[in-house]
Amino acid sequence: MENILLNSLDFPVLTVTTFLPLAGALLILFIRNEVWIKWLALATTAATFIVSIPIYTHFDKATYKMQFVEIHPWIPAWNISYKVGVDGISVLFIILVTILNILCVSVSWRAIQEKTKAFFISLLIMETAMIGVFVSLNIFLFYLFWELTLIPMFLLIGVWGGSNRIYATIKFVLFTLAGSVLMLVGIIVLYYAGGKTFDILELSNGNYPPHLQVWLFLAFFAAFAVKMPMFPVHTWLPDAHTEAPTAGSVILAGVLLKMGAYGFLRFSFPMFPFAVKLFFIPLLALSVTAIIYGAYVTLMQKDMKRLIAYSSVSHMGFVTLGIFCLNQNGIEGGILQMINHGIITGALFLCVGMIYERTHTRMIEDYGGLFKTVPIYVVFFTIFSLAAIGFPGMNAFIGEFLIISGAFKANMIIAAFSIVGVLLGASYMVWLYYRIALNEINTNTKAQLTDLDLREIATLLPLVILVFLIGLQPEILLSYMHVSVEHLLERIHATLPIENLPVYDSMASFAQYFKEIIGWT
Amino acid sequence: MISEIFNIEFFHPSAYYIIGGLLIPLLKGRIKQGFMLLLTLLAFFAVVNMPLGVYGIYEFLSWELTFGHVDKLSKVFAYIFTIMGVIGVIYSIHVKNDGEHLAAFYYIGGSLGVTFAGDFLTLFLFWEIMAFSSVFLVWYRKIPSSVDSGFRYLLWHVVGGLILFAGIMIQYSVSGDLSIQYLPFHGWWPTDLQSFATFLIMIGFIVNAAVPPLGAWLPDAYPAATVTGAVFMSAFTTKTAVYALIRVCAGSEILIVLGVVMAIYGVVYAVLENDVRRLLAYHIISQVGYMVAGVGLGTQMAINGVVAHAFCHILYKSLLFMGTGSVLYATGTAKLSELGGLYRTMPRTMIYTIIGGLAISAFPLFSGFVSKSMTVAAFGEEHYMWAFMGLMLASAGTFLHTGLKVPYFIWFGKDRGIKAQEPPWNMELAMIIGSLFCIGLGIFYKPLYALLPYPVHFEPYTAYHTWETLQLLLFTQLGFFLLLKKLWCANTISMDTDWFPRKGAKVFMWFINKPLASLEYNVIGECYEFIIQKPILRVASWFKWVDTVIVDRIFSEIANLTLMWSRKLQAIQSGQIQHYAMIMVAGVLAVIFIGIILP
Amino acid sequence: MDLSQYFTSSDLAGIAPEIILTITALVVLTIEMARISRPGIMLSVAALGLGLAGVAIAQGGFDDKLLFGGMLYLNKFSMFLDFLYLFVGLLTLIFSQGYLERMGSKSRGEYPALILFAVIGMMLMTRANDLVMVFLGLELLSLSLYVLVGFLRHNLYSNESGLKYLLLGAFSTGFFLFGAALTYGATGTTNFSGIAQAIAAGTVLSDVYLYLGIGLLLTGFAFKVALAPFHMWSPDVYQGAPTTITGFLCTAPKAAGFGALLKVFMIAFPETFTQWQNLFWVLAALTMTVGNISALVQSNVKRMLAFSSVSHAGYLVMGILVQDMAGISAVLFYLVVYSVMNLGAFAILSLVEKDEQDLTFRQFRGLASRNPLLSAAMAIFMVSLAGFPPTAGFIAKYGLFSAAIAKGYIWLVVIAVLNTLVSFYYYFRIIVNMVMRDEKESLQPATGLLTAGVLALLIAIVFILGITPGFLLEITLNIATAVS
Repeated sequence: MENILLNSLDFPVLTVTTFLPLAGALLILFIRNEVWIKWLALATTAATFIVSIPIYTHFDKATYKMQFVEIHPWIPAWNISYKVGVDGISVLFIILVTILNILCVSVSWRAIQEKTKAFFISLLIMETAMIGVFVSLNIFLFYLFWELTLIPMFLLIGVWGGSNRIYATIKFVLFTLAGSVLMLVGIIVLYYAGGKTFDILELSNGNYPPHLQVWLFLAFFAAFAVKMPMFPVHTWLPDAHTEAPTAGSVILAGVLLKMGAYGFLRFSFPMFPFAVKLFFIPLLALSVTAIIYGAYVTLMQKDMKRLIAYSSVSHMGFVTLGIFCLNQNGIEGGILQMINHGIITGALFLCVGMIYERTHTRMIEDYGGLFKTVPIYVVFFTIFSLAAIGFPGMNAFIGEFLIISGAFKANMIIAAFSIVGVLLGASYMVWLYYRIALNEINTNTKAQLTDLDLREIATLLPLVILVFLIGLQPEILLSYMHVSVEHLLERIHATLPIENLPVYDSMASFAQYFKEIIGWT
Repeated sequence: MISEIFNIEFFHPSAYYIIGGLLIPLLKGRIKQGFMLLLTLLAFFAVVNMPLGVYGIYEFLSWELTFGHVDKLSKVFAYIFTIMGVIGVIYSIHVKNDGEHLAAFYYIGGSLGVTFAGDFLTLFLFWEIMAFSSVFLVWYRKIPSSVDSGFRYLLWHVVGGLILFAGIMIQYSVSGDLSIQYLPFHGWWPTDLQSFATFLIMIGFIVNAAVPPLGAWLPDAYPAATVTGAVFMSAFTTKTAVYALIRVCAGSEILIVLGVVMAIYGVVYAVLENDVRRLLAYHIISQVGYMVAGVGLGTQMAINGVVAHAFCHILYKSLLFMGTGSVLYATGTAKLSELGGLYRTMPRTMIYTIIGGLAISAFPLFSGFVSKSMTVAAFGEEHYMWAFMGLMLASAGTFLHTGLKVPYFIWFGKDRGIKAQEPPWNMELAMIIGSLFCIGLGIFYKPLYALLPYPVHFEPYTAYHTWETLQLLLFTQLGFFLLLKKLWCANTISMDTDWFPRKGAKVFMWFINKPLASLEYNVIGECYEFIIQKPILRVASWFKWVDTVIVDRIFSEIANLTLMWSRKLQAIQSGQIQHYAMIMVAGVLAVIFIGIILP
Repeated sequence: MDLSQYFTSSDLAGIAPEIILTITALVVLTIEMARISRPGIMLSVAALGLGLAGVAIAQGGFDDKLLFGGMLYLNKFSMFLDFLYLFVGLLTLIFSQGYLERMGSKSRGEYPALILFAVIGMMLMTRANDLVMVFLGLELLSLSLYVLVGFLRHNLYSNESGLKYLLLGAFSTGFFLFGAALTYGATGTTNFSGIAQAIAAGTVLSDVYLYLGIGLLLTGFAFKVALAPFHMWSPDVYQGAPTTITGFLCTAPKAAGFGALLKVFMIAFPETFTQWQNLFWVLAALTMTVGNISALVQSNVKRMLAFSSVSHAGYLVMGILVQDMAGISAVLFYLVVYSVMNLGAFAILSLVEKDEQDLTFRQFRGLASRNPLLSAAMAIFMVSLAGFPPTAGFIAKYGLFSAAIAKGYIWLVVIAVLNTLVSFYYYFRIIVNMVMRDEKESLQPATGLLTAGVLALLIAIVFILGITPGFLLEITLNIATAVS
């Protein structure tokens, strides 16, 4: 109880923020008129955003402790309680979710024609699940929300997706599930190893035997790595992104991918510091592999959405690179970069979606010369492309700068490779821009192309503002995380320093270890 | 933050360009033109009454960014950049396309930002702004070839910028702070981490300084730029790079070699060139060669010479670009072989161009003389004779082609009766200003010397220097008129010319044609292909193959395997009771075995 | 004459539920004979009987009772299962309403009667404290089921499956009986506690006999609850049987089988259990894997669900394997949830099914756009069967896994979770077909207000147990503590 601050507001802000969208979904269930459904969905997301504002205004940046905590007994038989709270690491994701969802509703206004009701219900349930993942302070609750994100996404891709949607959605769920069921086993083992509790904070203070840590780390890693996605389990991502409707892609890229990295920060680091340090170099190498590999594969894509999807692989490589640096710059850069990636890639997907609505093609060769045909659109596209490249003064630059400076502290060679990654990132983005915006005007799509209307501009404008705001005043966001990240690092470095870790012998000690577990019950 | 950067005694001139520039699209007609002019003048005066010191320190995350690092060096560059801003804006004020104006303004603002940057992060910020804004000056010409060259130009600068970024990162991880320090690079290869950082930073700079072969972007992009865009580009990118080189790695011997090579290289390829603007582009390389070499020498005199030369060079080179630009504007072509006899239709433009040509050829009483001679003399004093001779040779070539060949083929030569008239008033006004500077600085050079970072103990108009130069120039002129027939220009880019063989001297032309021409146009010219096409795209397609055929396949194979087993199991589920009974019996035996025999 | 030497009034009070159900069954048959039969009447009478039986159980009180000289042993465990049987029986009757007409079956009276007899049999199985008693219950159950499975006389599939079930069932009954005989031979008694005492006292005639006996008994149960490799009958039988009966078949009898199995091993063979652990481990792994893998390629939905129920039996074996408080409570909880989910799923199948044609995935295409509510219900049951939160299926699975890991069977649990991964594919195939493929297929679901209401109730249970399982967990836990 000493490391939490109970919710001091006059209403349970986190619970309301989490379940307001669900309530909206239930309300929509009983409405027939499609227009009302849309407006109600918009109202719900907006209300959720407004409700979530006090979390930021009342957030105490001076402490690493969990804030706005609410505790209620839930399943006493298994010692499971409903416990939610946020700290500097998780707080930013909530606003990311709430903002992106408003935009998702707005962008789906005209794009979704049939089964409207079901669409918006899934979208809102999705929002509840995503917020829930970030606020849960109880692993059981966390897992509940974590799994709950699957089914709405399964529907979003499978029902409103593109031509190859069923393959994509099945692939998505199979991959994600494969990871998360292994995590479930890990969670249960952790439950017994940590003295029969699901409380994340208590478990984070636990001190587990090295061999157990390694295996638990691997179990959780399976789930998080697939979600990130890290190389080589990334292949579900391009299919899912490409087939999903615009809103689905935005949510996938904007939030779902972040859940993996968040998992690392929330579970793997404080609970298995030994294992994290044991796998220090492999993890960095894996990240940089993802960066370069992803960038290279991106370069070859002919489908815009697929291109942006693969670029996410590369960008999330940067995120993992940052957080596995295990130093202040790296981790802060990683978290910041997650937010940035959410904004930028979300925006790029919105851009692609907007011209797709008009021309119904995502192939790059069908476009060209938009520079002249749709100037307003190109202005936005230019800004977001520059941001994606990491142009100084825009948000991604700060993130990449922090990450790479952290990487140089962690390991020179890895960092050098990451620079190559930046170069490749710039080249595929500039090349895409060149082929779409410049080039000769493409006549097959020129006819359908009309410039953005007010709704679409209103959808993109907030993201532009965020891009520059974060780019010029990153402290706005970074100030939230400093203390929490410091505390996290203390926790990690309290264990052995990397160089003198004991040599790890796997199976024998593992088997022997579980005999101990058997003893406990 | 605002109050810090733009406090009273120091007002950052880029602010006029970058923030004021945003208003341009909102205005119309004369008001817009007046406003643009006003901005440039304000920027100039901001520099004029700017005291030395360090201003505009801005706490950003854990670093402090310095936007206003003002010393004599940065101030003199700021002077010339702002002056150039005035001239360039006057020259291009008639342009309708706001985007082009905006690009130019951000470009200038970027270079000013680099000039006053006190730390590497700020420098990098404005560095990238320059690259990404200038590319639009190329793209706005809106012909396919210019779109392509613009794309190549951008990629070159992205690469250069990232090499610089890598250097900065390593520098940061080594020294722990980002402030710009003086880090000369000695020797040929980086030995330790620190020198590696310096090396990368230097590479980043010399990409922008267009040191061959990293400078292949310059002759590729400048001729493709718009009439007015080329004027701006000729002035800023390379000179900003020279400034950065002086700040960070003055006295790195390797630069001397590179500089001399540059100087000659530029001239040689100018010989081969037919497109005037491309020819001038090569001359930029040649001229910047002097500066790079001077930076490499790094003595006070050399630095003075470099700064002075940069100052003058910006003026006369832009004057030449303006002149040829006006010709392009009037006639629609810049090919020597298609021009000729324009002295009748565009006499005044002719005069300005010739002034520029004389200035670039360092003719006494013209600005080039007072600056170039100082640089060259600095080598003389340090007894770098080979460098000295190389630079002299280069200046001879310069005169031969810019001072004589260009004017001759454009204005005199064979009259092709091209319909043309003088350019609009604003272009002409800009050229007049430029010409005045070229002559004025050649005569009243004291104020310029006063601006230089170090005290000057150099007197250009000694009998020795003057005579030496004149001698060189006269001989060159003589040679030109003797070889006039042989320098007749053909309308080609690569030099597989058919005129020279007829005149003989095959060997010389073979040497120019095969090794040099192919070197330029088949190797360096395609450096872009070699950097982008070959390694990146080819490797990328391989990676894509791996991704689809191996990585993705693995997982789908696992799924297929499961399904295959599922089908196999169906064979057992035959529906025949006797089979089921058999299996049950087998099961019972298994149960007995596992349950009883095993334990 | 004086019967008190045979049994006392408390004995009669103990078996009051069985008595009531028997009488009800006879009444139903009489009504049938009297030709005044209308489905409504039948249903209400049978329902009344089931209800009264429930009341009788509750009246009897929840303390342990030893009846008929140790033939029956009533404890919380058996009573909990009794309620489950009654519940399942009632629902089956409700769902069968109208289904039989749609299938064109004439006779009605014996159907409810047989179900009631089956319920009695199951109650006896888990109340028994004596191998003979278990055998009686088992036979009563099986015989009624043989008839019910083949109930659609004109339907060849139905007849085939009835016959198959009969023959293989007889086969397995043989094993069971032989096992009982051997155990008797070894220990000199068929009474659970007697056997336990004999083993404890070491007065066993021959360990080999005893172990053979246990092994064969185990085989008998394994057949009843369809553990691989004794599951071969179930797909064919489930596919052919009337759908409502399939629903009944894969819920209540499984519960009875597991209940009896648990009881036998808890009371009669606690000492010898340790040496059966490997066997149970293998059975669990094999059953869940075979069930899931086989279900993947099925084109017939009933057959797919049959295999899925095999795999669920595999999960349940984990609970048996653990055999401690957590395990037993998990098994009880799982049985309830599993029955609810399966009954719901089969009820929906019975609504959409047409006579004389097998029900393929393809037929479900585009159901969502024509009948959103029904397909939503189906989707929910499938999600729950696949074990996704926030449905009851997840909580139930979690209970089993947690119990198993507590005992250190981690690799078994890993196998289990990988199996759930596989199961996702075939459960969601239905959803994919219903929601994501829009082809006009000729599925015209029948509708019944009562059925709809009950379905709604089942969905509610699925969610309530998925979100706040606390109260039921309390019950199962203190039952488990009571018995173990």
